[in-house]
Amino acid sequence: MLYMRPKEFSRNNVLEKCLTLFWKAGYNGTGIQEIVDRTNVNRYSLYEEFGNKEGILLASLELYKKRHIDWELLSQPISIEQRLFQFYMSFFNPSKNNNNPIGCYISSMAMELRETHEMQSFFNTYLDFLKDRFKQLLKEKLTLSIDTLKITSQQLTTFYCTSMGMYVIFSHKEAERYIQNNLNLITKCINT
Amino acid sequence: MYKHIDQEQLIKKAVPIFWENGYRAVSYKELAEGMGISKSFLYNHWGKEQLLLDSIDSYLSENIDPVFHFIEHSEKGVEAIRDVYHEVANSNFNDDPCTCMLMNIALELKQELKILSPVYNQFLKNMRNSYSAALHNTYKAGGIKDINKIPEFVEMLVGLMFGLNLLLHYKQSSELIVYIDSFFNLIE
Repeated sequence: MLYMRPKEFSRNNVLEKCLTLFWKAGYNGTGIQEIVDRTNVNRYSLYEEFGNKEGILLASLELYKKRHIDWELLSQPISIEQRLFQFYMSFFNPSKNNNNPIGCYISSMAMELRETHEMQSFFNTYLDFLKDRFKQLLKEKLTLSIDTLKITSQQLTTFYCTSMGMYVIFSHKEAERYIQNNLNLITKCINT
Repeated sequence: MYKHIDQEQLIKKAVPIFWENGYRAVSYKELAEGMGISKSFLYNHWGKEQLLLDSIDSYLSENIDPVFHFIEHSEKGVEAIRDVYHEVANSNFNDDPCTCMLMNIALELKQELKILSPVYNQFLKNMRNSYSAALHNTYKAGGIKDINKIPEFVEMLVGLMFGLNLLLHYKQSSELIVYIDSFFNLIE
């Protein structure tokens, strides 16, 4: 049976606000007082719910992964190449929350917090997850050898890190051309 | 007061501070101490933003332009680019803040600091030009079949450096070398 604990705040709403704060000003650029001001939740309740600031970060990363990344795009009934194109471009069109910057929150935090233990473990797990998703997708092409599958899913994962970095300096048009061009090169081998 | 001090020498002292810590996290106090000048002089006559621009200029001409020059003029063509990428993958964090200062700053400041965009554009242009020259050398040597494909390969390699700049912090060198080579293998 589902039992909802009555709470004075919605966990996800609080996390969404923290996510936007961290993404815009950086994790280290956001003080706990700003979080309190923005979310209207006092710090004791925040600590009770999330433990500490790192706890908020990790919960916000999980939320982003579940809510903001449009994984459905990878299972549409269109060609693999088109699905991949739409998936990469979706980070350039943050339609769900227009307050957030473009790119990927996870790779943005991974860049800022590269020296921390928590991020090392979270980001590496995330990269493996991403690689598995690409692998599943490529498996639809039954003729692919195990080696091609391995290399291509790896390349798509590396290219993910690449494009999230490039989005910062690209216009929409440049990003489109760039994604298309690279996907053509990477996926060429799956069609031969 | 600081008229006679060589400005370039002062900027050179600021470069590693921005490189290691980024822009926001650096205080006027840290910069002034690192540069050996007074905080008020730095604040009133220079400004953090201008100092960042000057530091990026200095960083590019000291650290990056020589690499582009090497790539552009090497007879090894695309292999010269691969050598540079391998070197980046093998770099040791204990010695140097080895990722690219400009990319780090770009990621940190996103699109906030509009004055930086001409700097990125110039940087990307130089990168593309040197890679393109190298790939043309490879084409002449028979390593690339279709000359029209060169711009695509250039874009792929430029992007790969951005990806490496992040992955360097999360993956072992040996793993990175495998990734790098798999992308270079797409060039034919």
